[in-house]
Amino acid sequence: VVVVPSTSARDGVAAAGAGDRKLWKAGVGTSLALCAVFVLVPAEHDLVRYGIVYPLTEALAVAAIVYGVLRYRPSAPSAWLLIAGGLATWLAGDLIWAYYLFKDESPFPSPADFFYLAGYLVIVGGLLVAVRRRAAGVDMRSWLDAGMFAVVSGLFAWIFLVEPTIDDPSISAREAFVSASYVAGDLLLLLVAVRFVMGISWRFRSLELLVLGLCLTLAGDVVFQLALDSAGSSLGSGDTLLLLGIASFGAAGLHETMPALTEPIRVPSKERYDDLRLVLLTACCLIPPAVLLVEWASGTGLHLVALVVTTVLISLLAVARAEVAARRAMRTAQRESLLGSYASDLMRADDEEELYGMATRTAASLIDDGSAAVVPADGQAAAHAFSVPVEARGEHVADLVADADLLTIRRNHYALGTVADELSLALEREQLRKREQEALAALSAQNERLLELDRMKDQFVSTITHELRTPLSSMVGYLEMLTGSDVGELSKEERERFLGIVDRNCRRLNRLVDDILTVARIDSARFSLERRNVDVVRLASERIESIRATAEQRIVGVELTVENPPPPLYADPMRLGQLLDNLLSNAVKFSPEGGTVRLNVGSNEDTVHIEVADSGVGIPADEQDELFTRFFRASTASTVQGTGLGLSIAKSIVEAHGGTITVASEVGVGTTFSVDLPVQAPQETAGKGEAAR
Amino acid sequence: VSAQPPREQPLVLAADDDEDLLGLVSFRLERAGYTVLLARDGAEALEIALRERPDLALLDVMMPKLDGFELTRRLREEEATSRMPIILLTARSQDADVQQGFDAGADDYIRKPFSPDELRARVQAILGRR
Repeated sequence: VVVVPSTSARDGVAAAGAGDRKLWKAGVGTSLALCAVFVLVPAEHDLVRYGIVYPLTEALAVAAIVYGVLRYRPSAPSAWLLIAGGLATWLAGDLIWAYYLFKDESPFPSPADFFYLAGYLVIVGGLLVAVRRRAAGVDMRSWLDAGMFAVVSGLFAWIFLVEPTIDDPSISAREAFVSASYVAGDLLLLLVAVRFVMGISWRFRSLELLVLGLCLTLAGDVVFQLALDSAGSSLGSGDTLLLLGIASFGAAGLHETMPALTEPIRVPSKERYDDLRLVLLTACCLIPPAVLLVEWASGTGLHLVALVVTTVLISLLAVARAEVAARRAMRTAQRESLLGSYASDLMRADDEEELYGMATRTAASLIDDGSAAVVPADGQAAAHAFSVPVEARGEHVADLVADADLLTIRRNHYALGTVADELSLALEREQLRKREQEALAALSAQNERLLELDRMKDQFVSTITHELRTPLSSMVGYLEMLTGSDVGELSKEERERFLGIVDRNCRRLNRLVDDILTVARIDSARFSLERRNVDVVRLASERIESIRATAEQRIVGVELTVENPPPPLYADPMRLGQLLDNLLSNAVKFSPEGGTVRLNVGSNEDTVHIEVADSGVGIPADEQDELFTRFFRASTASTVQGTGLGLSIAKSIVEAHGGTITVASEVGVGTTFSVDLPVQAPQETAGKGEAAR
Repeated sequence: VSAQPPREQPLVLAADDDEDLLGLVSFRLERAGYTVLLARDGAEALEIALRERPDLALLDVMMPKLDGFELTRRLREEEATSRMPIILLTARSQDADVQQGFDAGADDYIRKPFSPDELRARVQAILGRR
């Protein structure tokens, strides 16, 4: 009915490394068997029971704990070693007692009693180490509460155990003192045990067994003392309980979860059983008056002094507890106000950096006897005593980390969580705000751009109207003079000159319409190439000849140079001609009188190189990037008519052929356009009528 | 104008950046008995107008350096040319453009493309009124 070893592994400290379950079962079995032997062996064989079984059980428990420490390596082995030490001290006392039994003596008090009493202190020491290590996250109230339990227990111990001993005339003062010492030892153990229980987690089998051992030990002592007082027969049952308690200690120390005793609680859980504790404490406070009432009613003498002392002690403890609670409430209020102003500060922050700063400052204010900060998410968070992730839009962006003693961390656990959560929300808000701003900025930039495009389009319509009507005007005007005018007789030369002018303007109009159509095709993605093998040099000399008349009219020279005659180029001859026309007519238009336009055709292994150079006005460097943009006209082109289409068309043609076009220009010196076309057209574009873009 | 010696033939200034159109205008007006001065951009036209004080100016609107509207305003500001008849010649034909031309101080407005005979008739009409 004592220990039912669990077969299912409970999550615990040692769950990672496989514990030796078989050994543990064997140990528990052996201990229980020894207890059974102790109970079953008849009372007349005391030497067997107290000289062999009892010390054997104790030695087994000590060995089990020491083995557990060596095997499972708890972080602070001293707690378990002290408990084992306490058991060993009891073992020493029992061996001495066995010696007396052997000699058929039973002195009281004896040196054995000294070892028994010392054993309590050593075990208490072990528990204190555990409390310090493991349950540091429990505040002062736990000690006060444990104190109240101990005081009430002390009242009963006095009434039922100590006072009768003192009053008994057959018991000497020395014997009475030693008996009372046992009671004091039990009360001390009770105090520490209660405090220890408040800090533990019940998730660990080893700790459950340890608490069971403490309960059995205390119960055994009470039964023992009562039995001693009644000078009696039932000695065995108290010793049985004590023996089972010792077996429990051993089982606890041998269990794989034994390191949990001194394992610090990383993320402390919310203080539980608060209500239960308050009920029990209220009961404690009510016990002295209740005892008083019972004694008064039953008429058996009053223990007035004991009751007064108990009441005073409990009152003092209750006042201290109220004080602690008040301080705690004040701290909670401070935290609340800190968090409140933090939340409103976050609303006013301007950027993420400020948000992080606020969170760090608030966390640092919460952890006033340690350090806390928001750090980038670098995977190092686990190295801190406390950490909570900060997430923005599902992404782990930072960690709020804190380093302080466990009590501080425990008190601020939720506040720090709130700081992190609020920061997460604020970061999301900030990101949304930034995106909104960016979207607005993008929208307004796009608006600007659209307005600019609209302006350019207006300009274009106006320009195109002018450009179309100018050659048309010449054609209409000269034709009228040739046909139905009242201008009078025209000479043959005049008629021929006029016809030439009409012809030239027809071509000009045609080229312009071509450009406009090309732009429309490019826009509707119907721009396609009809490739065949093209002799670039021949094409170049044809285009040179066709521009020569216009150039000579402007007193501009044109010349063609060929450096390294290129092989036939697989290209669209019509588009290539349009490209050359555009570049050449530009060059002629912008050349001063007496200037020269040079067309150079060359090649290397895989590239045909075409260069058109003029000695014209040039293009400012900061405008060269925009030069190939449709409708764009350089500031230096203001004195020359044009649509702003030619170069954008040129670029489209070059790119459709998989080539590149670049410009090099200096204001006042001249401009050179360089076109590189790959000789081997890409395989997939060698088909018919592929799209240009 | 009265300070100038009387001219045998009326003097007309024609300004256009298109060589062919300039040739058309000058040929037609010379045939009609005018002396025609040629300018290929706005700045040149302003300079010739101020120097030669022609009887009439025939100005293209879209010209390099100085457009026809601006040129008209400048000519109106100058004492010597403030009363000189100005005909604007332009491809821009929206009502707003016509209004802008008259606002600048032009006397008449001819849209491209135009009939050479009509051009001569308008020039004659304006000069005949004076």
